Amino acid sequence: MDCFQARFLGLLSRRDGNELALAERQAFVRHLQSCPECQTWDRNDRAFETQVTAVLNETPMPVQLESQILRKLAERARPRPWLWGAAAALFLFFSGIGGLVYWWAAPGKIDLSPNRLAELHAKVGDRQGAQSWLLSQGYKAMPSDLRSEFLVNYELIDFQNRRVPRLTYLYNGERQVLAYVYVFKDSQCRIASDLEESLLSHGGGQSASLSRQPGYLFLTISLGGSLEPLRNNNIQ
Amino acid sequence: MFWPIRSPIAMEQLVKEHSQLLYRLAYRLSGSKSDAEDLTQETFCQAYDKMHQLRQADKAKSWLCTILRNCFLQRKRHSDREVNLPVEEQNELPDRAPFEVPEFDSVQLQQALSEMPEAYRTPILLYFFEEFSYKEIAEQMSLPMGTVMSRLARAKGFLRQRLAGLVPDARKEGA
Repeated sequence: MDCFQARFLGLLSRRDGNELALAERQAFVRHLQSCPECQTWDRNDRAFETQVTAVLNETPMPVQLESQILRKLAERARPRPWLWGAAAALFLFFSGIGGLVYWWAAPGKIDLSPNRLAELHAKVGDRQGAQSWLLSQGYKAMPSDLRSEFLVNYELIDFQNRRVPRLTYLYNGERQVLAYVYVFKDSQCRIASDLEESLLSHGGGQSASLSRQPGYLFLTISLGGSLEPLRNNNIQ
Repeated sequence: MFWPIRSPIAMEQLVKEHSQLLYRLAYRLSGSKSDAEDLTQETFCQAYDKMHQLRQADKAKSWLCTILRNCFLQRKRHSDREVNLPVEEQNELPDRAPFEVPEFDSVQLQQALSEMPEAYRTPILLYFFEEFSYKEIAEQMSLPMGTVMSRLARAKGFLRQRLAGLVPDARKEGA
């Protein structure tokens, strides 16, 4: 072991003695015993470390600092009512803004009051009534392939996140047939992705079909078998 | 052992046990008593907010020192007061020509420390103050142990020469 290695190990052994193997420690001690120059180096270096440590530790901490820190931490730990107040004010502010935006941008409300419902029921079976109702909702088309005398209801319903008109047709013959016709504007649906998916999802005694009129699409879903009894045979 | 999150008792214990060390370290890093007080307070406030990060109570000391150093570095970015003396020119490993250093006081030592770049000042302070091992310093500073050893050797060499008057005083040089 040369002096360079010995000093390196000497430094390491002061704080990280466990990092050294026993053989290394023994070799270092042997070298130190036999090398006066390293003995001097080790003595001076240790003395320098002791001197620096002593001077560094002379720095006294201001007596009030500990209590200042504890006071500051206690303040931090204390619940701050003004913070909750500020949070509540912010919440109310943004809720108000959100409400205003919704009020401004929300779609027109659908009148489902008892009077309106009674009015709707009074129109059941009335093609003219259904047509004017659709018109009032902004739809200028009626399915022409189904017989209007079997129309029993019309209403707005939620269909795949859209509010669309649904006409209900009922045939109470030998075999009952119920058909729902959903009316879409072309701008409202992407037939490839949305409607085909919904068509595929209908099975087990249900059938679905699509028909078109300029600017409109009708999705008919029937329960109870063939739509034939509901068909308007006069249609060309 | 898991430390209770934001427990006031745990925080009080931390303050009582470590505020002295942190203040001394802050003073030696910043060279100013008022900065040291601010840094110590800031360190404990940050520690309070980050208490959940402390998983082992026996690592509290080095965890606090790391927070303090980060606080100091953040402040230092805003003020460029550092004078870089040629610490890098010192030997990486133990001096081949050891010599005795004459007596020096706290002010002279602080002056010499302030002339060192922070990358050298921090390991030497951690080494001398709480007798952190090279390994612990390496962990705190996220450096390889060899780098810490070489920085410490250089820093010690610089301090020795500076305190023995072999390296000129930066204040006089600058004047």
